Amino acid sequence: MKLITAIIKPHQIDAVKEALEAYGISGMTVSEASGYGRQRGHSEVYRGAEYTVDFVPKLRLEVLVDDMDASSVADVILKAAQTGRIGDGKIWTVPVEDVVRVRTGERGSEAI
Amino acid sequence: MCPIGTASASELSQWGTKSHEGQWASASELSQWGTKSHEGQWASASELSQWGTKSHEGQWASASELSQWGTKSHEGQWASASELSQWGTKSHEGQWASASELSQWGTKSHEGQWASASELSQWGTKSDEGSDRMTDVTDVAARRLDLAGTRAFETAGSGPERRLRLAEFNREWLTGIWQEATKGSNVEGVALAAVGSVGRGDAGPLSDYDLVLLHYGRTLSADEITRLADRIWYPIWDAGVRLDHSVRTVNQCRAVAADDLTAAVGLLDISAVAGDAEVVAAARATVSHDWRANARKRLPQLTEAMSVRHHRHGDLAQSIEPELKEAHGGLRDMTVLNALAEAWLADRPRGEVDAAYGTLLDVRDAVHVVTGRGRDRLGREDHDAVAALLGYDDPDDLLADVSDAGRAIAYAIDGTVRRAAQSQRARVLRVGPRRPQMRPLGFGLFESDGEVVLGSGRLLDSDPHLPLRAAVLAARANLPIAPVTLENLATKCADLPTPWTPLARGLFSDLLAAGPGLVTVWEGLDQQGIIERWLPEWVAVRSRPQRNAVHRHTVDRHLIETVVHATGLLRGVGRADLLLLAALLHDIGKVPGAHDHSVAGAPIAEAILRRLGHSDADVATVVALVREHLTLIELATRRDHSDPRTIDAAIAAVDGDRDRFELLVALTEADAVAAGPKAWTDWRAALLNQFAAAVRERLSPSTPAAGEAEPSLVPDDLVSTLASGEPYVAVVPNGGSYRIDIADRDRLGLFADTAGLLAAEGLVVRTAVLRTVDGIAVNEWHVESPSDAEPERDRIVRGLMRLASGDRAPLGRLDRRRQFAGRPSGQSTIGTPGQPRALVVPGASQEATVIEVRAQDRPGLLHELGMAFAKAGVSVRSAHIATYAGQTLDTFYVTDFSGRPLDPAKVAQVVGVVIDACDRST
Repeated sequence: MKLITAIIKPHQIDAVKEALEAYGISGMTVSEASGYGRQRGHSEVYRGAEYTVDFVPKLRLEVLVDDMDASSVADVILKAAQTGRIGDGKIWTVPVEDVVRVRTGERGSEAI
Repeated sequence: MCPIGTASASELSQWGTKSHEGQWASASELSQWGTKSHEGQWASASELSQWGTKSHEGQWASASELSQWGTKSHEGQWASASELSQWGTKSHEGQWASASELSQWGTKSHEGQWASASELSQWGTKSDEGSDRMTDVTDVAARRLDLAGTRAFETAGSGPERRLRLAEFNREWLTGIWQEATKGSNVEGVALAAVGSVGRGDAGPLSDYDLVLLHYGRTLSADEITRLADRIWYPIWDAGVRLDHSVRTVNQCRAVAADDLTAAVGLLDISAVAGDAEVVAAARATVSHDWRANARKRLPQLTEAMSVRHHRHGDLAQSIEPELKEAHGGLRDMTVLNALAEAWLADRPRGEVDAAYGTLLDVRDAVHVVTGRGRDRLGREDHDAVAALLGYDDPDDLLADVSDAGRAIAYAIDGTVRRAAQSQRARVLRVGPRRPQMRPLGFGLFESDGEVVLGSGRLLDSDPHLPLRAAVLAARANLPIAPVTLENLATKCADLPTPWTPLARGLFSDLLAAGPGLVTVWEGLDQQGIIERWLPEWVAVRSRPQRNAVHRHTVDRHLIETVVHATGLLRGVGRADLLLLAALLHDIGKVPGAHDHSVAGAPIAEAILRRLGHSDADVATVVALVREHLTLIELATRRDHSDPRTIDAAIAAVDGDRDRFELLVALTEADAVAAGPKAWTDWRAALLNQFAAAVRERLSPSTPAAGEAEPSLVPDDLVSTLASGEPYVAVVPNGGSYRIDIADRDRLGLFADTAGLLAAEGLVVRTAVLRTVDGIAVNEWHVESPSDAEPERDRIVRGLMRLASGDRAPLGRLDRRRQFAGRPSGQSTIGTPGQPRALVVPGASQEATVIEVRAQDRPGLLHELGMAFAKAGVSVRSAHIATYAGQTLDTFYVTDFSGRPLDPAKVAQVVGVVIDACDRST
């Protein structure tokens, strides 16, 4: 099993969600995140004062999938989240040792 | 109100407990302590002779300290405490933990479910399987729950009977334990007594036991009494009942009560359970006597502790997840109320309050039954089940009843505390004849004993603005209006005309701008039905719960909170009054059956604003703000900021109007901050700010708030008056305020002199239009008179003539006029406007430089602005002065001596001195 984590622009969440649902992914975890990448944040002018935004608001999306689905799910997210502009985010995949569904106690692939 | 994941407080300097995001860390201190954590789930600690604090599955913590003790509740879950050199054990969720004392202790964990402990020389380990214990746990809890009689809840009057049965059971069960424990010992002069809810006999099905082993210190030695205590406490712990316990002599009770207020209030309810009733009666009498003797001294302490508790747990009446015990208007307030009555400090209100107390007890019982836990918080997830158990068809009706009960108790406790404080002062000041201490607030209103009251001889029916005036003064001073005064205002004052007068509108925005003091005053007005007369639409949202994870208040309270938060954002917008009205009305559409409350609210808001007599343009702006109040946050968090269509959508929402956009940004922020910590995270704030900046780039800068006053013809009679060397002055009463027309030959400093003279006469300027025509200044001032005296025309004429001749004496009284200064109440960072601003509006006029000033209004401000212009050698050609909601928004058209616009260097200098003038003495 793999854990796919994607950092995306907040407004892309609906597109990503729809694409994942279409692919057959039934669950995901979304949280608010802030950070920066190569572009190192950017400057803003707010109420007349310029200030540097170090941490840009993003959404962090986590999906657990079977090994065989991992790369295609990452592709689905990529296609849906891509705008081609600075700050589109990142996607990464890490192996997962075990998964347990709390309600039933099912383990492994059953629990996904 | 505390945010989610609050910290519970520690007392004295001894110990502390911290909560962290719903998970817990606990700590004890003194000189030795230890903490073990097990599977990340719990930690226990002991220490030399004290100990304290267990946390378990992120749900609770307990603490003890030297000789004081306290009980904290936390998010509807709980913390209990042990005291002195005894120790305690907590059980929770049918799982449990116990602890030991003195120098030996031990902790065992078993499958993460429980921990047991040993003590001094005797100790035992609880069964590994926990099965026999668990049976006991289930038994006592189940028997108590069973007695609560799940079927009888919906029957009217079943509550007292249920609590009586529970009290009997508690007594019998504890008596059994006592008899077992005292078998074969001489226990003369020793008794088991209960305090708290068990002592009062109104304990819920799963309420804690709060027990005291009382003795005279004669019959049994210290060792014997300790062993007896163990024989009593252990069976109770083993039965899984949460217990707060202590062993005391009568004298120790007295000492503890003298030191610790919470303990003192608790001990007033002490009642005998088993053993020698005489010792309990002696303790009761002693504590009660001391309480009466010292209550006056302790009242400030009591009030302080109460307000800290209220602050932490919020208002019961206006919470979505009411904390039935600790909140303002909760069960504990009734205990305090009884303690005040017991001290003979104040009469105890009856009737409605007792019924309200009964309602809350019934709901508390039902919460225990539904959750199977001894919690006192009516959580969102339990609304439906508790409502069903109590026989409500709609959970909203349950919340409405809880809200009404909370209101009744809060009103009673607040009034009683004030009465108690007054009786205390009355006693201190009894030298010579007693007269009420009255501090004048203006308009015939006074502060007396921490309340706003009407002065004698004030004719109530003559002035329909009086309730508004009283409300403004009270809210600014952060004082409640006295109940009697409120009642008089409600019953005797005439209704405001429809549409409202300009003065009423102005006062209403002043009230909204008053700051945190608004909350109490609004509640008082609402209790007396005055709000309903002003805004009949308010009834639909009053005490209305909202099922939404981000909200923590009922709709009405959320609206008021939004207004208070908006007062911190006033300086960023052009029309403070419109922002406040939009804040007050933005959720007015949250009525039963409304599909989209923003859309539903727009016509309701429009009807209100028309009744208030606002102009078409202002109505359109506020209605648009109400309709679009969720648009910006939606666009900012869910749409692509770099997509021009997203920006277009935002611009369309405000009709391309820059001023309206700034109002919407401020409303969005105030709404989110007021809703609760989940609605306004840094994350959301960053997105909104980013988006607002992107939209601003596309919006043109705002136009000046008012165009240059158009010259009008100067009447002939005026010219002839002026030719005689006298200024022309006319005073016209105008529905509670006055219009003063002043015309004079223009001269440098005329504006400063006129503004200063009006301020020195004690008049407050609402609006003014100043024009200069052919060397004659024609000014129209709209003023109010806080002293109720009509402005005297002749005095103004004489004053202006003396000032024209260089005599500054008429301005002498200016300084003394500052007592009517209207400042927002409270010191919180929320609801306090920022820095004053002076901006040059480029390209607004060919003939003059246009300077816009925004600042907090105060007596004499216009005079100082005028002086600043005069000293800079700048003449004021025309001006629009307007005070919206305590903020002055003035537009000045100024020229140099030769009548031309100022050069850039001069502009910079003038802006500097103007800002200095606004800053001065604030």
